[in-house]
Amino acid sequence: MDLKGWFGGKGRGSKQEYTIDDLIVLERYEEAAERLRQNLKANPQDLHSHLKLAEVYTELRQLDRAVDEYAFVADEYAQDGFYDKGIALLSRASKLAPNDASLRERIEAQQREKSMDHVRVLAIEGLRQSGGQAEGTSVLELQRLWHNLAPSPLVQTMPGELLWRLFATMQLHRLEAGTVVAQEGSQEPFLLLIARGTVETTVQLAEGAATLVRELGPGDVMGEAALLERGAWPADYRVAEAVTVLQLTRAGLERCLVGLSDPRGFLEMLRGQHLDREVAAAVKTLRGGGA
Amino acid sequence: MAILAIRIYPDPVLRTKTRPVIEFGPALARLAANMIETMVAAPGIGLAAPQVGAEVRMAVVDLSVGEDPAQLHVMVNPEIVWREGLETDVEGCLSLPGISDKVDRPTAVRVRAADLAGRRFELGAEGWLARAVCHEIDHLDGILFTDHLRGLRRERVRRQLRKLAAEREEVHA
Repeated sequence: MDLKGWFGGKGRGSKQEYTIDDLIVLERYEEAAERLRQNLKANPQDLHSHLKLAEVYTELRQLDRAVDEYAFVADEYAQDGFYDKGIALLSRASKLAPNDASLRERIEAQQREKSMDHVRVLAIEGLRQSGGQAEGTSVLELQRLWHNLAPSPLVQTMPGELLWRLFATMQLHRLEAGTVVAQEGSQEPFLLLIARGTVETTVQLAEGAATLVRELGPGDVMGEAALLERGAWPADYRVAEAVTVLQLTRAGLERCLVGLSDPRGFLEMLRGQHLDREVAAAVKTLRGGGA
Repeated sequence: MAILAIRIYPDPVLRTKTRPVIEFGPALARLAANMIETMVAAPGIGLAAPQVGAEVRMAVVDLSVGEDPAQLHVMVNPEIVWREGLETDVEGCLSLPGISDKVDRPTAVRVRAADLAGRRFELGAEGWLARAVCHEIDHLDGILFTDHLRGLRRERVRRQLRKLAAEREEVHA
């Protein structure tokens, strides 16, 4: 090849293409947006692309779309424990949509989560000890489980040290859809705290069909009647959507109670949601026993 | 020999992912000689082929800017085969006049390349030489030093690049 062949090589197999940043610099925003959307089709979780797309939508005055992108990234940051970054992005989005009350609520929610940072650190350490890492769960994954658990009544009421103690004596399990967790009437003594996914509670009515009583999701506790009150599971519990749960067995509970200054208060917090009681009441109603 | 025109941002040739050299001969030697003369005249301490519009994997580096022949390195088809450490220093680029910023680079690299006769050699580089080599090899992959900047630095450099692009547009208008 002669010298000329190395110059002006368009069509000679070389690839000359502006980067997305170049397109932004050159104010070719429509092209930049298209390229970013293509990137995100291939990798929907690419936060850098989401952020750049938010910038580009802002330049294009497509503010609703910009807000959606900022909010998406903010949520992802929060799930990984980067609350300051999340709040900063939501604040930026809020400037674009000053009348959007939901953004303000999200900022407040993230601020609340941030204020629980001490609790978070202890709880994640507890989760780690619950076998999370042994099962191949990364620290990031544990952060995400925590993000799901943080708004639950149990986490909101229990001090960090107790949460750490509780989680450290629980075991982390993943259950596939269709797995039977417990059957009505059984007294298997364990309690589950859902970190991800959903569990359905159903009962067999006289007509024979299984009837849905209630759906339980992240943050919900089940089995407190069987474990803490030596009662029975009030319905059939089956995994509807693959779940990650923390399981507390009787042995774990006993370990957890050792040396506690207020075991009664701890147990009250543990059963504070009273979901088994609510399910039992709903079953009774379904079977015609009145509310 | 001739001084070549240095391509300035946003010339798309700067985003070229260059092709490896497969033919070594007088044409390649002529291009290298012209690049060296262009680099020294600019003056600069390194120049990659895309910066003069050639879409070929060749770069020249000379920290002495023509003062010491022993410091001149012509690298054909260079690739970094080992790197170590990280340090931050200010870089500029002949294709981005007036723009400079801090960039993280390895403190030491080992580069495998060929000379103008196609003979393979390895070059160990530390400090500024390592930085210059990395900078030029980036060019061969269509990467500019500004692409390494993040956050506020990126915002600032974007404004500078926009200004530069506007100036180029005026020049060509």
